[in-house]
Amino acid sequence: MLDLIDLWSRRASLGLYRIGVYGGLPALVILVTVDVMLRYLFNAPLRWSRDANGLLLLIALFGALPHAWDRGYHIRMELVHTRLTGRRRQLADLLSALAGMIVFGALTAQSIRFVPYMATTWETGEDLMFPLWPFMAFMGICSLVFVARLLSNPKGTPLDGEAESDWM
Amino acid sequence: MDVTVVGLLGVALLLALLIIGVPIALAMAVTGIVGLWVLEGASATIAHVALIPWDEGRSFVIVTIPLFVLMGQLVFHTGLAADLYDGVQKWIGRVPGGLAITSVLACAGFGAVTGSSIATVATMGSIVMPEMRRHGYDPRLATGALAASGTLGILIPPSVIFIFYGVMTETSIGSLFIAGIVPGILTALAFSVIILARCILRPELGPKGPPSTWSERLGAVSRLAPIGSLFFLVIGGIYAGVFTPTEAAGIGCMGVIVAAALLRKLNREAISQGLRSAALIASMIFAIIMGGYLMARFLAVTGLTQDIVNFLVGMELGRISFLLLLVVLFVLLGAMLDVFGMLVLTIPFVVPVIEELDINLIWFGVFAVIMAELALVTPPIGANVFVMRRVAPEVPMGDIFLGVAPFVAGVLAVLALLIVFPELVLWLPRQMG
Repeated sequence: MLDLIDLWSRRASLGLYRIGVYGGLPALVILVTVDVMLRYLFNAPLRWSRDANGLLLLIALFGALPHAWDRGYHIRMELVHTRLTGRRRQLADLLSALAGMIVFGALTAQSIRFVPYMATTWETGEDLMFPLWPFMAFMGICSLVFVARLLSNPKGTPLDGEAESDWM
Repeated sequence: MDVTVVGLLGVALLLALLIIGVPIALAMAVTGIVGLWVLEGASATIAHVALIPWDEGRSFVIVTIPLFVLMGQLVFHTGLAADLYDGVQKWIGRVPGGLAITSVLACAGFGAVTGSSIATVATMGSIVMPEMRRHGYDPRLATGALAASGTLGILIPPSVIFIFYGVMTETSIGSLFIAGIVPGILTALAFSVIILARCILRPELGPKGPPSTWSERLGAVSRLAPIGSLFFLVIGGIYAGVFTPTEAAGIGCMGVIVAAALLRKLNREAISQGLRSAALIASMIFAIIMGGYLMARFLAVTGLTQDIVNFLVGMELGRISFLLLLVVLFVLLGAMLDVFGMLVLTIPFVVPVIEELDINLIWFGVFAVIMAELALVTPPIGANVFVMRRVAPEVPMGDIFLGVAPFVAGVLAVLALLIVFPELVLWLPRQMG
C-alpha cells in the first residue's frame, strides 16, 4: 500500500512541479513584463493582471511545494539533527513528517470544503472574471500530494539521483 | 488555562521541535495550528490554515520572491558573471591584494543582480579562486575574502532577505532595496581596505595580479555593461518610482534573458535550471512565510508579543543598548539557525519593540540583513563558508573561518557606523521618486 502511495505521489509531485516550473513561473514573468510594457508604451495596462499574477503565483509556489520536500529544500536546525542516530533520528524524522501531515492535511481538508462553496457562489477575482475554485482545488491537490510525500519519504532527503539543495 | 501560559507553552513546543530538527516552516505552522486550536477551537483554526496560504499565495508583493530568485538564478546559470570579474580585474588587479579586492567588487556587482549570498560565493568563488591560487594568494585571505564578500549578495539590492523582511513586517520592499545601497557600498569599501592594509603590511599574502594595458582596461568597461545595465534598470526603476519591486523583478528576468541572448550565453538548459531552482527556492521561502504567519497569529491571540514588548520597554534600555542586545541575540541565533529561520523567529517579537522605541523599520531591515550576513560566515553554520569549502576543498574549514574573521570585524565596524549615523541608511530612501 505504502509503495503504491509512493509511486502515485511521486509521479503526481513531479507533474505538479512541472506545471509550476514550466507553466506558472514563465507565465508570471511574461505577464508582469507585458503589463509594464503595455502601461508605459501604450498607456493600456491590463486591469486583470494583478489577479492573474496572484493565481499564477499560487500555481508556481504550490506546484513546487511537494517536490521541494523530496529535493531536501526545507530548512531545519541541523545542529542536533545531524548528530542523532538510529531510533532517535527516526523519531525526529517521524515528528517532522507528522508536523507536515497535520499542517497540509488540515489545508487539504479545508480546501475540499471551500471548493464547492466557491463553485456555487461563482467566486471570481476583483478584476479577473474567472472562477477561483479551480485554483483552490489546485492548492488542495498539492497539499494532498505533499501529505502523501511526507508519508512516503518522511526524512525529506533527496530521492535517488536528485541533488540536494545548495542554495539559500 | 491562561492565554499567556498557552503562549509560553507554544514557544517551548516550537523550540523543542526546532531543536530536534523539524523543518522551520513545519515547526512554526504546526505550533501555530495547535495553539490556535487550543485557544480558538477547531473550525476557526482550520479556516486560518487555508486562508493564510490562499491570501498570501496570491499576494502581489510575494510575486517578487520567485521573480527575483529567478533573476538571480538566470544570471548564475547563464554565466554572465565571468565578464564582471574580468572587467574589474583589469582595473585594480595590480594593487596589493588586487585579485582579492577584485573579488570583493565583483561580488558586490554580482550581488547587484542576484539576491542570493550562496549563489554569489558559488559563482564568484569558482571564477576567482583558481586565479588567486595561480598567483600564490594566501588561502586564508583568498577564501575568507570570497566567503565574506558573498554576503554582499543579500545586502546590495535586489535581496531575497530584504523581500522576506518586507513581507513579514509589511515594510516597503522598494525602500528596503534602496536603503541597502549605501551600507552595501560601505561594506565593500571596508572589505577592500582590510585586504589592502593586510597586503601592504604583508605583501606575500596577496601578490600583485597580471598587468593590463590602457586599451585592455578601456575594453573591459564594455564587459561590465550587461550587469551594470541590469542593476540600473531594476534598482534605478524602483528608485525613480517607475516600477514597483514586483514589476522590476519581472523586467529584470526579461533583461537577463535578453542580455544573455545578445552575448550568446543563453541556452535551454540555463533557462530550465533557473526556472527549476527558482520554483523550489521560492516554494521553500513561501512555506516559511506561511508558517511564520500562523505562528504570529497564535502569538497575537495569546498577547505574548505585547507582554514581551512591555517587558523590554519597561527595562528602559534605550535604542543603542537594545540594539546591542539584539546583536548578541542574532549572533547566538545565527549560530543555530539559517537566515530565514533567524528572522522569522525574531521578527514577531522584535519588531513591535522596535516600533515602540521609535526605530525606523527600514533602518532595522538593514540592521537585520547585516546580522544575517554575520550568520552566513560565522561558525558553526556559516553557510557561505561551507560553499567556499566546496569551491576550495584544499583549504580546511577552520582556515576559512579564520580568514573570514577580519571581515567580520569590518562588518561590525560598518554596523557601528550605521547605529551612530542612521541617516547613512535612511537618506537615500527618502529621496525616492
